[in-house]
Amino acid sequence: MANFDPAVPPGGEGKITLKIKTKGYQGNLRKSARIKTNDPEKRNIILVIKATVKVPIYVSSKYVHLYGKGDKGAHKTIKILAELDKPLNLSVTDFTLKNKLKYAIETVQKEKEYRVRFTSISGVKENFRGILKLKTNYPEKPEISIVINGRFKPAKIPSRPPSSGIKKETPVRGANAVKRLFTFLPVTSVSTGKKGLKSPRQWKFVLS
Amino acid sequence: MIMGLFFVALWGDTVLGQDNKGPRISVEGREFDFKEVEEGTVLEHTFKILNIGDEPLKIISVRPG
Repeated sequence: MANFDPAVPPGGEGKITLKIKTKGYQGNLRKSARIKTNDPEKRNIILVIKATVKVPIYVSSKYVHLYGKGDKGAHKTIKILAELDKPLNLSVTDFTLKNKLKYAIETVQKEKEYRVRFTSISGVKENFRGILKLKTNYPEKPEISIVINGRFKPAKIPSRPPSSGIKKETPVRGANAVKRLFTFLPVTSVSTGKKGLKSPRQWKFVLS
Repeated sequence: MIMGLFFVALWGDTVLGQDNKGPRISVEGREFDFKEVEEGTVLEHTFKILNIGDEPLKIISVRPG
């Protein structure tokens, strides 16, 4: 969000106020704003606001994406770290993907650091989306939600339809397509207004 | 000597004078670091802009990005 003085008189002073909400952020935060002015030498100016957002509990990622390739399983690990100087305890309150995905909470450092490991279940061949909710003993952050996205549905390869006998012209992409846009034609005379410029080496650039 | 003074005067008028012709923006500090903040706080900072030119300066738009 921004507030600004739209005009500043010569020799005068103006203000540009930028406002940033830090809810949902953690760690380094950098937000910029592009200012457009009528100064012919500085038409664009970038203003930057930086901050390090401190959270009571650091979660390496609030979103987990798991992609299955062939029969290979997929797994992802998330780190949860207590940033306040007091013991952290976690307990699961909800998990919506019971038959589609496994999870395990490992303690890395007692009451300080945990790892949540998500592992795919072999045989599950579908896409899914769900959530893992953890309750904490921190009143500053009573709940942690991790959204999980799984893609295990095998991609369908469309079979080629039988030829109907009529070939449909498909647009050519790549270098050939560019070539087709114009052609070079030899120029027999050039209207420059000056005499003696006729040359067989001159070419006309024609867009088709 | 006179020619030299005349040249300096002319140079000053054209080069230095031209510098402040038209609208001219000057910003005191284009970057502001809040350092450590608690999650959930709303950060607000006001950048001071000066018009050091001789014509009105317009702020056409301010876009986050």
